[in-house]
Amino acid sequence: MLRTLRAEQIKLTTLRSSWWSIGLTMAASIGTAILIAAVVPSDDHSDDTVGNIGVLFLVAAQLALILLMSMAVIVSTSEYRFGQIRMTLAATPARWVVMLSKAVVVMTVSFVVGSITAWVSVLFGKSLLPAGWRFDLSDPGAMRIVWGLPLFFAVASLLAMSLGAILRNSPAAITILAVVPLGVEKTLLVIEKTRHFAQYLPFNAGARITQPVDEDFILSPWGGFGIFCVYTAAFFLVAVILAETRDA
Amino acid sequence: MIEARALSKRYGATLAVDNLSFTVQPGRVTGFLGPNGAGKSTTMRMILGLDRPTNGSVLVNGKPYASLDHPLRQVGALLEAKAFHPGRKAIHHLRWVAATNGIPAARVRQVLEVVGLSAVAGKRAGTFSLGMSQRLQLAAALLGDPGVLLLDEPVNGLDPEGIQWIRQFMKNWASQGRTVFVSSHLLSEMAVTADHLIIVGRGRLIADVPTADFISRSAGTFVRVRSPQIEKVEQLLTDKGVQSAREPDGALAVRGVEAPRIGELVAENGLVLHELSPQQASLEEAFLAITRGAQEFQGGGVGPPPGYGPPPGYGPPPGYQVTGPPSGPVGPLGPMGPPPGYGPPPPGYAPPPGPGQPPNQPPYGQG
Repeated sequence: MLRTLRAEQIKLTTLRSSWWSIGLTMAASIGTAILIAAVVPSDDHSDDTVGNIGVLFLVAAQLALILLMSMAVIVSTSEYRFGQIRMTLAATPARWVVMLSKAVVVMTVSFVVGSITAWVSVLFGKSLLPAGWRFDLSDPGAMRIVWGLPLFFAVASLLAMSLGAILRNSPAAITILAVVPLGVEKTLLVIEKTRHFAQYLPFNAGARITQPVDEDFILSPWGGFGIFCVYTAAFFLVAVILAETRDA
Repeated sequence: MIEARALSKRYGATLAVDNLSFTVQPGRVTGFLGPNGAGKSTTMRMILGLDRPTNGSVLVNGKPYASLDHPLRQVGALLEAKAFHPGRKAIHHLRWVAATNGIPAARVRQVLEVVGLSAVAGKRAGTFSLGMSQRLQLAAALLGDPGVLLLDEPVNGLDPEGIQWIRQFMKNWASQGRTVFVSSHLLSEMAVTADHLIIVGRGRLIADVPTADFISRSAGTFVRVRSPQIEKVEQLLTDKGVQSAREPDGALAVRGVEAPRIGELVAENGLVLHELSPQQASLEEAFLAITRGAQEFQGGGVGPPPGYGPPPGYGPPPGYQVTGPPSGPVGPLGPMGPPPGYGPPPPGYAPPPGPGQPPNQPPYGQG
């Protein structure tokens, strides 16, 4: 298991596309956080630290996440696109070990990327936000939202990796992951009729961990994140079962 | 050592591998020969546990591949498709492969040296030529210093130098008492590489035979005889139980007997010869004729039609038949039976029932 884990880590870190995805995710997340912190009007301030951090994370948790998820998709799909899966499974015939190793590597990388993104954004935000904007990390819930971003990144990557393994096709998986969270789920959240049910959709629920406690939402940050974890676990389980039963 | 037992693989309506049983012994190069689509790659994938058999099983060193401890240290495989990511540097590809089976990183440099890729170790594998790609895959196969080597069409797309190199490599490998199982659709390639042949057509076993025997029994050798008294010569040979066939231009194609014996026989009977020449018909033609036969069996289910058979001059000679007798009697002109090692058909490979008989000529010595 540890050897396969090491192998998966080498695979991920020796591809340029991985670094591009990671770099772009961080640049987009941190760049927009800085931009937001720099341009918010000083008179329209908020005295809620958690809410203010949530504002900084807006782009990271919605848009930049897609870049990171595409990296996670490619971890699975590149195996099939280039026939590398045969080498992988010849080396490690226990397929669930391969899947678990990929999961650990992808989640670890995404968690680290999320942590760096969150902390750099927060530190810039703290120094750039106008004086009226409350920004005290010792406020209740502040740590939850700061660490919520890396947690959301990690679980979303696992979901993406699982979808990639199920579909075995990068364009299909990446398209779904770009369209569903941003297009479908957000739209349904805006429409009055579907608003209630839309809150239970995976990415709407998961993103709650990067948002302030909000009376408009049924799900608490942790509750929403929990639902997202259940969705992801289901996808991962399907991916493992398919990996075990399908021909390589 | 690889043992396949009644191995079958079905993809939808297609039976890609049909009740295939064979054993690949160490210490020699075993060729896995058959036309494209005969089920060779599927069989290779099943050996490696990549595809699951619909029926039957295959063992490597006595175990299913999936239960081998550190499989790369026991089996190295070069598969037909490029099994690497083109964006990764060659050395990084080998590093992750090595990592999976706890193979030290120093070994990566070693195998790069062995296959002659040291100079391009830092290049992305996608920039490699086909020959270099094959070498990279061979390097990956050698990482664990395995006792069993599986190669699926290794010479495909290689230049003559590369072909020569890989041939020599396989021979050396086998001479160290290791197992080499190499697939090809080219008989001429196998003829110079393999010591033993496992021949398949449409997923079924056609022959499990030493290469030398296959070649000598295949169309490879016959003697062309021309004579103004050709009918008499033909009668003479028939009387002696020798098989012969007329070629379109009236010449006689005699098989199973060396030219000097024919010459002597003819001289003893006071006949005149205009030509007595040993012929080497195309191995590929023989191979095609044989595998085509297997396909007839598949399609018809009642054996080949009466008109079946290769033209005179090539085709499966007597004694070499898909479902021929396990051994032949000794003919009047010398031992004609199948050599040792060319045993009865494997279990489960029975001749089709029904009126359609395989294209067997009577064995020598029955005339």
